[in-house]
Amino acid sequence: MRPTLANLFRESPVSLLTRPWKKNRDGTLFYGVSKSGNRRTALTTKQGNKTLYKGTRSSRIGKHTRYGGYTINWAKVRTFVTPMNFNSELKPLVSHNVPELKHSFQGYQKGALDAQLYFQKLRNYVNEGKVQSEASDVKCYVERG
Amino acid sequence: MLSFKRGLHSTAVSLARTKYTKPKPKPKSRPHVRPPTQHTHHSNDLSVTAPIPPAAANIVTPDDHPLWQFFADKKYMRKFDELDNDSRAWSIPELRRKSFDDLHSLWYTSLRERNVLARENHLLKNDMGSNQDSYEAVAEKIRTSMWRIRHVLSERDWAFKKANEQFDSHKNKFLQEFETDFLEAPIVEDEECFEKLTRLQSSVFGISEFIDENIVDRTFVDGMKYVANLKLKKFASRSDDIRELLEQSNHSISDAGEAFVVFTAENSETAVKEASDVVKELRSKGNSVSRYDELETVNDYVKQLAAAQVEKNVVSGV
Amino acid sequence: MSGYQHLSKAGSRFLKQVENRPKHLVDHFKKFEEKSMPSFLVPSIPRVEDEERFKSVREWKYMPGDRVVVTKGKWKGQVCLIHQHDKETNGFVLDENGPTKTVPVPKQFWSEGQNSHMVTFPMAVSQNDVKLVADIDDQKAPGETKTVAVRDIVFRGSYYDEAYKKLMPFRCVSGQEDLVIPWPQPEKKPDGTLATSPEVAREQTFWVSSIAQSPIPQGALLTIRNPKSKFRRGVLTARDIGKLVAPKMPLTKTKKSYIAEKQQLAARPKRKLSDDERELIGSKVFEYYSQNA
Repeated sequence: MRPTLANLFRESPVSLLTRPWKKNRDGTLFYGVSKSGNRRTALTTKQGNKTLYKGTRSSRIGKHTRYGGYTINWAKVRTFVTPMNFNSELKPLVSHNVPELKHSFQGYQKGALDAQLYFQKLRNYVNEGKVQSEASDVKCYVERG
Repeated sequence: MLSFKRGLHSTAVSLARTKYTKPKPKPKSRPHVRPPTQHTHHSNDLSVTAPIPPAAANIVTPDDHPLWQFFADKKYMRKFDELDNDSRAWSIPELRRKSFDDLHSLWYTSLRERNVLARENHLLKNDMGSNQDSYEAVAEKIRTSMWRIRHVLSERDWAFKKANEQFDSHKNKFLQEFETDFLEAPIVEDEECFEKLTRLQSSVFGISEFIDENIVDRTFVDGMKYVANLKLKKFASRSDDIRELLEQSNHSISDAGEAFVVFTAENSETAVKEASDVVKELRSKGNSVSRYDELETVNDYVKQLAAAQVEKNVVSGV
Repeated sequence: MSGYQHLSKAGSRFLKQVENRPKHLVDHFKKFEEKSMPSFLVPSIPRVEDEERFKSVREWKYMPGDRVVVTKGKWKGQVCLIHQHDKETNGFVLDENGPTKTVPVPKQFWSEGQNSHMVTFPMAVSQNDVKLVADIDDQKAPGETKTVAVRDIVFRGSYYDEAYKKLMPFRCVSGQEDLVIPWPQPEKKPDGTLATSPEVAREQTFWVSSIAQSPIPQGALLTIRNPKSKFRRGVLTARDIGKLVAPKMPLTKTKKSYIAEKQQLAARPKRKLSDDERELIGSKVFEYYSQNA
């Protein structure tokens, strides 16, 4: 018997591309671990057929009327209060060009909840009014708090 | 709703219209038809046009449509490199320095941005079947900012409550310190000193600068007396009349009516002197407010003063 | 495949369980994963678990912009610049001098402008396979510098770095700790689209201004804290404890007599041995032993 050529053991580009030997339904190659997926997770509210009603354990927002209508009870509807003086300059994140500020609370053992710190701040306010503290400087990275 | 008349089983057949049935005669023409009482633009404008094919290009969405709030720059989806991956969440110390209105605005902006990201993430996962977490990563950073805002508000409230509990024992020292500073300040700094006094009365006694915003309670009356005494003491060294009054009343006035007169006086020597004259006159007449009716009396005074101010404003406005 | 998994946490507990594979099967699963994964998706060094991923600068040791020399494999001896961190494998992606691999990529994964199946990717290198390259003062020729590879580095102390905008440790040469190798300058990027500008972010708008009035409105407080939470229990006062603890029961007659008897017995004087008695016992013992001896 002739030995198999060493070339045949080497992976060709085609064999590399068709590696997992599985295809999707539309004929494109499937690259993944398993096609069957995981069948042991619980169904979400969006899955199942039309007989499956899986609520979100939230209460209804009103009640059905006798004539097939629905009355909304506005006290039960989730509302978001809009800010009185909307500051549109504030964005959800902070620029990476500012150091993350830290508060040291030096001399105040209970940190932000220390009553003595509160009195000190109040004293400063009465004496000086609304004065910007040192952390208003962009380069500051640690402050008493 | 369909309405059915009852009939025999043969009724339907006998009443059915066939080719032998005679057609109904046409109604007579009506010569005096009332014209429509209202004319709308529909009567002139409406005309039959060619049908519009249902295509995306034929749908016009107004620029201010509220659902645009769920889109970033009116894009279907942002690309991964258009997302903001460098910025970080707000840190707690940074949020501690922001006012309630600012925090509320920030929370609201965050919420709206999270709506946009959630929509994009849903399209990515559901429509395209991808498992990339790029949108979720940004949303998670925003979520961090949001819980931190709530944390800071809660912390602010606890700090206030704890300080409030301990303030009773600390109050005298606090006010004493202020008094020494206030009385020792030179005449040049008078304006600053009275600004400080305004801040003190609002921060310790909750007395607003605007008289009509106040609610009269025990702390208000106490604060009023404290401020009135401070004013008298401040000017006592400059005017003999005021010093005399102070010495007569054992270095502090405790009558609410007298205190109110001094409290509402302008922060100048002449005004306080006038007020002290009024107080003396009150004393000579024997007018005094009993400690038991203080709150009601002061409340009446405050209302009268507010009404007088309103009247004055109306007059000057006219 | 369900496109709704991201909306719900249903089944997340089970999925977490699936991720905790038994120890003896970890290698088996890894092998299976590698076998089924096409070559263009296989990383050059193994992926690490989420907990093992590097987070701090001290763990990474080298930052993008550092020069390193490869010490292992086909590219041994190449000096390259670190391009970026590969967070999935705790490795470093190097510049064009570093290790690369050419792999076939199916058309569905082609990027724009690509016209061949074969694509060259940079391969990540693990931290053990690179050494830091630094310029230090040449002692033999004063005023000039020489380029050396550092065997290892240690961290001593820390300082605030203006470029990185955070506290950074000093990077010293192991064995010669007076030699500090500075961190490379990070790439400067403009603020992102969602970023608050530095000045606005740092502007102070809140001051502690009152002890008479709460700093936040009552309505807002109700949305951040539940005042009737079952986890917030009150503190028991002495009166409450007095009400909750049962009083001591009076003693029964039998018990009383028993205690009295016990006390009576305990109060009895203890008998002491007199000298005569001791003498007697001693003599008895002596007698016994002398008889048996």
